[in-house]
Amino acid sequence: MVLWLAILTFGAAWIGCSPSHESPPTASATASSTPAGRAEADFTACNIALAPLGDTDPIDQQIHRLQQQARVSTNSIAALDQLGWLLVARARDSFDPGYYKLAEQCALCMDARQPHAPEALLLRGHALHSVHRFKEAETLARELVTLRGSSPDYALLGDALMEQGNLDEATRAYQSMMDKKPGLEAYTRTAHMRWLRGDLSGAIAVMQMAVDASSPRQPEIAAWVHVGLALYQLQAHNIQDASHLLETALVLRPNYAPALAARGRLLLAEGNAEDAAESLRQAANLHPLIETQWLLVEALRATDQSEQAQGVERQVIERGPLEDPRTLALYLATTRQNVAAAVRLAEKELDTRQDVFTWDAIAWTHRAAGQLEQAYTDSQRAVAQGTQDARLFLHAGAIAAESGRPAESKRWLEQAAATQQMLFPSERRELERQLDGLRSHVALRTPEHPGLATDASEGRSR
Amino acid sequence: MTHRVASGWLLLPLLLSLAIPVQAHDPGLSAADVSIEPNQMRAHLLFARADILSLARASDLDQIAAQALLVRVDGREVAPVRVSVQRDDPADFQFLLSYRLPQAGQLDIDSLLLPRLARGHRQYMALRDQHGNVIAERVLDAHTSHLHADLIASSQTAKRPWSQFLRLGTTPVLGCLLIALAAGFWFVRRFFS
Repeated sequence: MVLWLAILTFGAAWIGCSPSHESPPTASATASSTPAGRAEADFTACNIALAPLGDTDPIDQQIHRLQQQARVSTNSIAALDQLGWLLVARARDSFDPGYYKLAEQCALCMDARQPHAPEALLLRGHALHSVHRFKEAETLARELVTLRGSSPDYALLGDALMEQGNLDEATRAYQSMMDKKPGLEAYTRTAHMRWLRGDLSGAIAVMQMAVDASSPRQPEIAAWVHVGLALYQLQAHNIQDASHLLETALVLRPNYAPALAARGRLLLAEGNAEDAAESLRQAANLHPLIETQWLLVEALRATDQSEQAQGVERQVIERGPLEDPRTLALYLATTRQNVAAAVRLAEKELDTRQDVFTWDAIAWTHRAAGQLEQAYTDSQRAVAQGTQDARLFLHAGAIAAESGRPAESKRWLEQAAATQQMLFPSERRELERQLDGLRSHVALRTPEHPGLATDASEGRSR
Repeated sequence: MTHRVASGWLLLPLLLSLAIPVQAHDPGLSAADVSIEPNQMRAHLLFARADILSLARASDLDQIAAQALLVRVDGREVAPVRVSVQRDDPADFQFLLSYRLPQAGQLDIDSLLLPRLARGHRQYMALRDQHGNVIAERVLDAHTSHLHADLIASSQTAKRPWSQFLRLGTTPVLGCLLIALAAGFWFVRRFFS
């Protein structure tokens, strides 16, 4: 009898304590409004966030440990939050945007377990912003600011607004961020905003503060701010400083793709195409950004490696529509290939972001398509914020010249020439061509050739 | 120490969101649900419409669907016996593939579209037994696009009718019954002693 009792009691206890084995978490995810929404929601976000990744990097062991914690911990929200930000760190570290998608799934899983948790909103907002879903990120950021209003919430709101070209409101969000928590993250945003507004020296001063505030204990972030400052210094003609900053970035984070790409750009500006090609090749292997590959194509052509250049160009054209349609549109318009596709890509980008660079891409593709008046209207929007960018100036100058506004063209082209070290080699050639055109136009306007009657039309346009 | 770790995590959102301007793109996310049934296997793949249309025209979808998976059973390739594409949803395409599955030991599935999709695309793949239990799952990408399962081992795990039965929501009822029985025995024994 006692034995029976023992068996029955043990059996009851075993059944009561039996773990649920591999059954997937049952929290259901909120369906995303994106095309991938159903694919992401049909399987719960928790399943995806906690599924093995199969990667082998040391950071992946940390990811695996946090996944385990999130499965069993009573405070699974905290474990998921840590997991999500670790995936974001992995995305930055590996330049693999797929990790942002997984971070988004962590946030959806958190939201399913604890609806409207600010941690989930922030993580998801950041993941969405990072994969160019700016409008959705803005919606979440506004909810966060109302709900909590902490420094990262204002940062997210400012970032989403800035990408969509709403600089005034973005500035206010960044100011709130700075008021709440001044520091490296606020300095980088302030610097970029100053640069967008045309205040290069102000941007350099604030980015220097970010560099000073950075720590080698976070090498990727420290390297990133060094690269940012280096590009500002390059624009300000402080080549030595820029070069030194890039070398420091590469010490902080060896083989850091953004630093290698910026070094390639600097070397090309100095006319050292050979070394530039090598640096850009490394950068493109590590992080095949369309812009880096475009620069690599130019460096390879400058060093008579046209076969390799063709191979890279093929990748740009194949991958560009998915990965960076705006830059591909610029590339196609600059090289006068498939102009109709360039216009389509640039106009489609407007659905995603409406900043000055998107307006510039639209203007440049319309110009390539021969729609000069439309191009002129678009280019006016591109230069409206006062951003001091050589490419914007070159495009505005070329469009003004070709649409019969030589005086305005001269103004823009002179500004482009003043910072032509920031232009790609093909763009520098275009600048030369435009300036030559302008010179011959001025030569034509001698008393014997009383002009091309452009002043009146310019007066109207202004 | 715990406090320091916690503060570190609080700072991460700020530090990690430095990417201005943003240089990533949306690589997309898809899902593959593979069910093992007696003598057959069904795969249900779900892709965002835009992701698939970046690979092919809508008219070529059947061909794309047929090429979506490479299935090997004990090292031998198995072709789908039925392929269909559902286009009802404006946002998605669903690929439904059926395979004849002989008595299998080792199952290997490669997701072949991943290297052709945008860089960074991820696919959640789950392999289920005939009861719906997940026997293998993984997040796949272009470099790791392979899922392996030992079907013999998983079927042995699955052939535990009691444990299966108990997992189907009857656990608390049985537990209570057993406790009641134990209490009954204890009461009878005590009363009659």
